[in-house]
Order: sequence, then C-alpha cells, then structure tokens
Amino acid sequence: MVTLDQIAIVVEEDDASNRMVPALLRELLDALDGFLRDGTRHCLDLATLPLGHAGRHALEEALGQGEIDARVSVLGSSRVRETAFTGIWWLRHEDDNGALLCEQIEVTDLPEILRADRGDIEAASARLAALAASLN
Amino acid sequence: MSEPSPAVDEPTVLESFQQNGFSRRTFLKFCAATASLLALPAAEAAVLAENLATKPRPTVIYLSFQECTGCLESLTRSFSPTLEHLIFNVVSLAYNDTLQAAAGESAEAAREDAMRKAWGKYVLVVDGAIPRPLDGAYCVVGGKSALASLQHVAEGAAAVIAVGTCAAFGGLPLANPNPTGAVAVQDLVRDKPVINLSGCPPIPEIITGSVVYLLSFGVPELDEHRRPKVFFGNTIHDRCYRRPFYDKGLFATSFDDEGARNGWCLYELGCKGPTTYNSCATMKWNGGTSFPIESGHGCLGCSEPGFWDRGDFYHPLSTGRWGSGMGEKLAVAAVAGAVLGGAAAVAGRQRQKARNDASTQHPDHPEAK
Repeated sequence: MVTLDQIAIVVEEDDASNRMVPALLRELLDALDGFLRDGTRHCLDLATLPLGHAGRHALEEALGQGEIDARVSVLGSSRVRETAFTGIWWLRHEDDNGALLCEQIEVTDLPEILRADRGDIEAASARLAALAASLN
Repeated sequence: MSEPSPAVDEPTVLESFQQNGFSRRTFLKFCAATASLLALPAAEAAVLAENLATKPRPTVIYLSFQECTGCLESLTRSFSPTLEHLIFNVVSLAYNDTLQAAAGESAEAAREDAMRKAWGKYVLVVDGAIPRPLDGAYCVVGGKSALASLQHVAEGAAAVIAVGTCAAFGGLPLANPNPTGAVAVQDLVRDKPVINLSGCPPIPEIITGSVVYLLSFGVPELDEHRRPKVFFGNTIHDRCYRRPFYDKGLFATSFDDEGARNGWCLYELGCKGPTTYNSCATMKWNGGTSFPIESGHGCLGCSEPGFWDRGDFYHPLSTGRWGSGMGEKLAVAAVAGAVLGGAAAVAGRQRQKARNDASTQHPDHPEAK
C-alpha cells in the first residue's frame, strides 16, 4: 500500500511563501519600534500565515538564534527562544504527546509565559511555609 | 444576548486554574492554544486571555435527547482545549447525564438548583434531535419529554449550543421517513441565540473552542446555518490535500484501482467534500492525526443539513441530490480537468468560488419548508 509520504504530490513552493518573509520582517521591525516607543507588545500566530515549509525555514534562518533558549513544562512542553534580534521571541507550544498546539512570534521584553505570576508566588510562599513548618 | 456567565460565587477561569493547582503559565498556554485554534488575530488573542482571567466560569447544562452519544464521545477526545480543562477550569458543568456522578432524582434536582442560581445566564448545550408529535412522547427522560425539557431549560439560558448534526439540523432522527417527527433545536428555540456545531460527530476541538469563544467574546459570527464561520467557513474540498489531483482531473474510480493507490481525488467515489463546510481537512481528528479522506474514504458530508437523505454516499455528487445543481457543475469541471489539465483547475476554482456564494440549503430542512 502506498503511504501518505509516497503519494506524489509535489507542492510547488514558489516563492510566494518565501516572498512573505521580507514582509514579515518589516512587520516585526515595525513591532519592535512600536515596543521601544510605547511598550506595545505584538504577536504573530504562524498557523494563520500562508507559510509553506520553505517560507517557514527561511523566516527561522533570517531571525536566527539569540541568547535564551528556555523550556517551560506546563500542559506538555513549550520552547521559548529569543531570536538573534533581542526582543523578538519564537514560541512553540506542544501538548503532552509532543503534538504542536501553536507557534508564535512575540515582540516583547519578556514573554508572559516566562514571567512568574504574583498569585503563583503567593501560593509558593504558602507551600514553602507549610513545608518549613512540617520539618520543625 | 445576556452574557453567559456566572453561577453564584463561581471563581474566574484563571482562579479556577489556580485552585486546581495550575499556574498562570498553564492558563496562558491554554489561551494561546485556544486563540490559535480559533484563528484569532494577535490582538484578540490577548483579549481572550484577559477576558478569561476576569470572567467567572459560566454554568453549563448539557441535555441529551435523540442521539447516540457519539458527540459526547467526540468531546471527550478533545486535545486542545481538553475536556478536563474545559469542565474543571473553564465552565461549571452542572448537568450531563453521562458524565455526572449523580443519577435519578438527585441529578434532576441538581439541575433545577443550578438553573435557579444562574437563571438567564447559563449556557445550554443540546445533543440530539427532539421529537415533536404527541407532546414529545417518543423521547422521555425522567418522566419528562425532551420537548418539555428543552423548552423549560432554554427559557433560562443566555445561549444555546446545538452539538452535532441531530441537534443542529435533525440528523438521523429527522431522516426520511422521520418516524418520530424529530426536529432540530433551532426549530423550537426561537428567542435565544442558537449556535449550531454540526458534524456526525463534530470535531471535538470545535465544541470546546466554541464554548471558550462564547464565554470570552459572546456569539461568534455565524453562517446561514448558524455555524461559526471560523470553523465552517470553507469546504473540505477547498482545503483538501488531494485537491491538486482534482484540478488535474486525476480520480480514483474504485477503492482498489491505481488512482486509489496513488491517492488521487475521491470525487468519483462519492466524496462530498466540495459541498461540505467543515474543518476536517485542516484541524483533522484525533489530535491532528488524519481525516477520512486521508484514510482513503470520501467525505460523507455529515455536517450539512439533511445529509442522510441526499442519496448514495458512494455515487458522485453529479448523480445525487447534493446542492443546487452544483454536482453537475463539479462533474463538468472534473471531466474538463481530465482533458484540459491545468486550464480546468482554474475553471474548477472559479466554479468553486461561485458555489461558495450559493446557498446549499437543503429542501428537506425544516426551515426550508
């Protein structure tokens, strides 16, 4: 039986997909300037863009890898990478089975998912106090 | 509409996450995945998170009538958002006779209690068609007819979600000869917003995503059959990975011929993808594993009104009663494709676009009568 990957569908990734990359870079540049100007955050959902494999790869190549590569373990795994352009982050969210939930590019100083929430810190404080008390 | 919300003293969605031991990070990831599922623009994705962080969980009452429980089976297999997150964190599921632990009179009393506390504000989810003759005597649960239950519970609802083709359009119970006189929810509930999530069953993420959208933004934009356009805005054919073969006029003509083995278009084998609006080709099933056409079988058209009565599942659209003459047009495009190749692809797309503008209202649907 012919499996899916053997079916001879040749997707022609002309360059329509690649041609999106300069436009996306200009959007990210505007967003970066906007963040510097008034702190406005910006987010792109890659699933909503008509990017083929080639275009996606070209975008990833253009943005490169920055100094931070973090893994967040909630509802499965999430990877938060800073690109070579400080303030532009590439986020990939996966479920418990490793399936892709969504992929985003955020323009911000720190993606919200990395920030420790005050409510969570308060809950941690209570848990730590209980632990300390139990050890006395 | 009144905003769907809150049971008395219900925590917000974010508080509910935190009370169940999840961090804000979990909540943010849940929101990001849901916003992506709903194809929300970036700005609205942030609003989704903000709204869910501040809104109390709405009370949800889920009633099952003439149905096979396949829709609920589907719902329990939602990957994102998962059903567990939905019922533990996003909504307060006050009544579902299959999922709840309570049974008998105590279950019915709990439903009445939940309705009283959130009167005018709860969300009613209905699964299954409703028989109308003889005061609804063909479907009775707990001594009360489906007809009476629906009318009673819908009276206090802020919005009604009809899950599955039976609830949305009558489905199998309404199919010829419709022995019980079954009708759809929208035929009985006239004074509340009704959202139809059709499919036999619907894609699970469409059910959970629509509930989250309703909570966060209210009733989504709907098509002429009251289905959310975000999920039912395109045909299966529009997004099918076998579409290039249709455009080239390459068709499987039996389930074991060369075309079938090569993964060619299933139009000749009765695929109803060209006239079926749903997200199977993009969202797929079982966590994005595949969808029927990817498994080698044509689309049955299960999310369209009256799909059981539209002729043979295994004959091409051109020989059935599917749509207003669209089958013939598609057949012409298919034959032309075999002869003209690329030129037919353009013609096919133009016809498809024309079809998109045309209604596919089925004559058997009660609203069409």
